[in-house]
Amino acid sequence: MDPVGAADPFAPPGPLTHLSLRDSSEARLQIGADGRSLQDSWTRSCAEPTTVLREGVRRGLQQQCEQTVRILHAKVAQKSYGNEKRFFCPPPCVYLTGPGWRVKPAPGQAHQAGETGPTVCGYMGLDGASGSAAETQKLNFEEQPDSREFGCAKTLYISDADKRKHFRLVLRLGLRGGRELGPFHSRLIKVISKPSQKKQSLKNTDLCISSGSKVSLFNRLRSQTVSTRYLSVEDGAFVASARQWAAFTLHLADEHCSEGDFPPREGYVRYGSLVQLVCTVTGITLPPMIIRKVAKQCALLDVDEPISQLHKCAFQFPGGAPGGGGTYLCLATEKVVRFQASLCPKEANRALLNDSSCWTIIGTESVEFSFSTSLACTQEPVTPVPLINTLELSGGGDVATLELHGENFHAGLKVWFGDVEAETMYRSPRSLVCVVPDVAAFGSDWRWLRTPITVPLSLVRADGLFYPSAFSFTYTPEYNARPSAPGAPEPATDADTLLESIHHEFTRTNFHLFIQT
Amino acid sequence: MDAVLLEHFPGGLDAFPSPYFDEEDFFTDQSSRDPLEDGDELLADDQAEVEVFSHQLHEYCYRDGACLLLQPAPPAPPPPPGAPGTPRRLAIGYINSLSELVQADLPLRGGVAGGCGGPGGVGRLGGDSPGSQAQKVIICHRGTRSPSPSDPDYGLPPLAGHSLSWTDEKQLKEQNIIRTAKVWTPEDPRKLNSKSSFNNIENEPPFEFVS
Repeated sequence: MDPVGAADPFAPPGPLTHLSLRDSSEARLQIGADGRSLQDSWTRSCAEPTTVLREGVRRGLQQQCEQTVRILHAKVAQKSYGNEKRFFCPPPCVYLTGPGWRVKPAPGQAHQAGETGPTVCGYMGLDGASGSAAETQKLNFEEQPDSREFGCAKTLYISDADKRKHFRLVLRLGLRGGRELGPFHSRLIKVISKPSQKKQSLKNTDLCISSGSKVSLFNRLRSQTVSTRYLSVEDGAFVASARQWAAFTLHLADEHCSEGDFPPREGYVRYGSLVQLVCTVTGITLPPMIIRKVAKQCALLDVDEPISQLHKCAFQFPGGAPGGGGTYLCLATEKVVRFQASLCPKEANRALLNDSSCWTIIGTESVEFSFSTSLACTQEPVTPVPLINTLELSGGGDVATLELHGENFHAGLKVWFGDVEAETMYRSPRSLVCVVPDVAAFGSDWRWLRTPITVPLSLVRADGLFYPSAFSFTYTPEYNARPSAPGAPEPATDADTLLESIHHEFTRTNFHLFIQT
Repeated sequence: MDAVLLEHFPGGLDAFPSPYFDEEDFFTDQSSRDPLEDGDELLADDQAEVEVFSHQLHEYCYRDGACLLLQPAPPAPPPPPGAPGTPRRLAIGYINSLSELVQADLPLRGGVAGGCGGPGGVGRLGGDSPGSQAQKVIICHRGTRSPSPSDPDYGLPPLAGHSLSWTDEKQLKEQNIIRTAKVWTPEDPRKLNSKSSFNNIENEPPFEFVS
């Protein structure tokens, strides 16, 4: 929280607006002396001048040497009973992206000359597990044509001895040479006993699939695990991959809009709806299709219940000859093609499919951790990596504050606007509050610039570890709407002083409220 | 803080939303009321009301702390001449007024220095909710010097300040991906006369349905 106040609660608080902020290095010295606010391992050297850090942040922003860990996994996992092992499907996978992974490590951390193979090693398992070799799986990272490192845990499962309803995956990453980057946690995964056979209720939001959410689709011929193929995109085309899966944004489509140009609609997706599948990475989409429920290898044409996790479904292309069974999304080995279905002669509300046009649908999650070790002078793990979910601006006039809502926050973090450090208060692991720096902090150009100034937002740990974010902050010039009339008296100086004192009083009270909460 | 604010009532009664002032309470001669009927009871009620409103305000302060407390409060009205209103009643009205402002998240009326634009004016045009950024937050530049012909900005329209906003670039990117999605249409093997790919389709429909 407020480091100044924390150091001496009885000291008269000074002005806390951007107009007269205390030098942040001074504040840090007080933190160090107090010793309560920072975790010891992250404490920045007091001798380190702020300018060096600022220069480092500026360099880091310019060079963009971040490293990103992205974990993709399903939202639900089916429990394994007795001796069976139902491996998570699609298998959780990890992508390492960003130029920072290719930066040569510093001497001492580096692998020896002549050593070959990946510089990163990882293990994935379930949280709360013992961590034994039997319960964790080693990931073998391999570089893809798009320069991403890819690793996949194909044999993870959850036993019925584990009574939890939810769990997380834990990825432990380390660099060759022994440095541990830390444990990275997935999103929560819901444990289910088996896919629901009943009509899904919309109240069961965990199992329903909403428009705009991410899904994976896989096909399993004759229910054989080895024949599993995942809908994916390679080289600009949809494929049925045995190795890799893609997450698709499932959207309710509008029948009246042209292909590729549809306003996303909200709501849970029901069978019989027109939907569109957009690849989250490549932006390639299939044409709008009608999602059908599948039972006994037939598409049920008159079912409109909500779709549910791990349901079998089919995707019908609209149109087709009247009286025909329509065409469906189908795989042919690796290719994705159309299959001409025929109407069931016995039941007109069913279309006969083949095994290759029956897909299993499952919601997916992804979580992304970005950091840059180039500024840090520590061998400590980079975790917990803070994640910013959303921002909230407050105030105005003399001072504005920005609240960061997210996860994994701690007292050793400072918010940076571009290369300017903001006065930051830790409220909780899910909330940080900072004072928005004045635009003048970015240089004197603002006086004559009449264009918006945008800076990236990032977090910096006390030891210099840099966490970039996907958020940017913009200062837009606002003109004086009501120019003062000629000859109008200037506001009295004492009124201005009074206003300023009241304002400081408010600001101070506000900061004290933060401290109390 | 309240005591300080209640000393400054330059805006008159008009500055208050009308529901918070019962004209009867203010403008009727309450000396004719039976003191035994509503004397202590009234005081007790007032006390309770003050506590409730104070509590509400306190809650709002916690919830929207920076929204409320970082800006100058609107002026409270002066007591009408000769009105028997007590400071407690004024406090109720004033707290109520502030409560509504916080609840409605509306711009404050009658800023001390004349609203946004003037030196030291209230620059905030309203609050925002996470993600929505529906209203502008403006930060003003106080203490700027008078323009001089030697200044590089001399002659440019004067700035009232800078409005603040943020962007989630990732969300923007995702929305762009959806908006500009490129459609890939799968082939229909029958139209291609490509026997090989058609033959690769395994498991034709179950025989029991075909017959």
